[in-house]
Amino acid sequence: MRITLVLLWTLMAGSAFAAGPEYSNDPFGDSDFAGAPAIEDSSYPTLGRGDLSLLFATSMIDKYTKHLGGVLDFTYHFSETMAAALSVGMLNGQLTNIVTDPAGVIGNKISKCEGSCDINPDLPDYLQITGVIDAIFEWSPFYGKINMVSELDASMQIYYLAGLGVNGTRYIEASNPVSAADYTLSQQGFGAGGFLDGMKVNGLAGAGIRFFFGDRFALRAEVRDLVFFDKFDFDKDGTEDSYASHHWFGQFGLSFLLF
Amino acid sequence: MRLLIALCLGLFLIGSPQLVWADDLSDLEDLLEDDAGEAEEEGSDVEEDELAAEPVEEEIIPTGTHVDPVLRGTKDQSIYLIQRRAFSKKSAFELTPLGVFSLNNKFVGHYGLGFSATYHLRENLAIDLTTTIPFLFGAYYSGLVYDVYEYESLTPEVVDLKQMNYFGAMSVQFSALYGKMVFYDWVMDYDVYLAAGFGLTSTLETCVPNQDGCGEDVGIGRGLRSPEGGSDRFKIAGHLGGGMRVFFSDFLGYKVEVRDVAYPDLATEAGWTYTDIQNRLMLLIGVSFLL
Repeated sequence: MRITLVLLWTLMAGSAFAAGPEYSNDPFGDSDFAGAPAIEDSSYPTLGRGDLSLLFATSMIDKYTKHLGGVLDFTYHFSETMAAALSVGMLNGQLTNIVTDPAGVIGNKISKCEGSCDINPDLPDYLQITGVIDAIFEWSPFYGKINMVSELDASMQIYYLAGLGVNGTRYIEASNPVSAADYTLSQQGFGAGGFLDGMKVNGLAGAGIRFFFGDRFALRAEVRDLVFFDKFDFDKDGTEDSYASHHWFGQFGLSFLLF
Repeated sequence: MRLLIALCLGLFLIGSPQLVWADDLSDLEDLLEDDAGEAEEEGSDVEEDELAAEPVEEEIIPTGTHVDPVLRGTKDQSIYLIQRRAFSKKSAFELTPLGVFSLNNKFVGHYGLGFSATYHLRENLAIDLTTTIPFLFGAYYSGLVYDVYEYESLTPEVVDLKQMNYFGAMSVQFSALYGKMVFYDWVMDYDVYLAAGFGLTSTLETCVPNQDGCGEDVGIGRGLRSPEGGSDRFKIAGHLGGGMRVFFSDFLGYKVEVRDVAYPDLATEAGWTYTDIQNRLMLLIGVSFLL
């Protein structure tokens, strides 16, 4: 008991005089730190460096398909604010509820069907994306630091990107209708439908951010709008019209600076 | 004996952090003394003509400061941590005209103008009032709604077709993170903040076109009107979001914020009542003025 009391007393008494040093902008009175520019230079300059990123990709604002997948991206920074990248990705699409619900597009067709009829959706933006290869130009005009826990600063880079490439597509067919909730969908699963089968030329634009953690690693998150041209008979006159099919993707992952 | 050990242990626990601090401070003092000493020695030895020569650059690595290996070998290339904010917002009013856009436009999209007034209680804590401007904020149906109506003769559930035509909220903003960013040679202060609050939202429901105060067909076989009797027109909404505030000077900057406006909603059709929790993800962008 006495031991406990003494231990408690010494610990509690300590707090009266054990306050830490107060933060001062000019601790030595020599104005050395006062007014020092926050961004003296880049902590992690990317000029002449190449990074390899593995990114998880998920589609956003889904219409008839939600996509999940991965992207491998190699970026070479040929100037302080510009870079070129090659991006290769593989995605798996899954139809959304508005298509697959019993009261959805396919279920509704089955409910109305008498005898033999086409139960496949007849909608624009219905194709699913499988594989993606893009050459990308990246512009990163913003470099910043963020104060996280008092004395720890994290460096970051905000970038914009634009690219051109190709992507594979697949069409999911519905068959064997038993009821509005019971039918078969084709080409389900990762890799089904090939990598670049049903190839389309695409363009993409987006923006992202890199957080540097050390000389070799960075966390990366970005948003991309992938656009490819497809055809659909909008006015139902028997001829298909071209239109731009937009697909938004959110991607995040880890970058490893190779050199 | 045990009493003595306990006393020693207690004193050690108290003293240990100070020892660590003392080590850090002594390192810094040593560094400064070394610099001063070296300067004195150099000063005593050099001739006047040598003073005119360019100073020899030396590597300086202050304790606890990161120095990139690429930059080593040149004087004062160390990376200073963020020292202080260039512009203070404490006890200041911030007024921001806003452009407001929805991000998750699955069935309904929104866009228009708004306004926010923010009082900064502290550098990292603020109270914010944000409102859209009536008649300058509206909604539209996404391509999906028109496509499934046109090509599949379907419409989403009526509750998903309701449009938000106003929102306003009082929020608390907490800025845990701040930093500085450079755009080429232009340095800017910025805060990253989280915001949470409550507000009021009003909605429009779908109805049979040109009947009982219902508007014209908007292209999906339905019109729009305010819910009858006003009972379902206004709802309490929760607001949760985050944003970034960038200042170029002590009075001018911009604000980018993403907030989720969440509220319960319901709609009736053919005797059936449909309910849903609506989550409207809004992007707010505006130029800020500090008063």
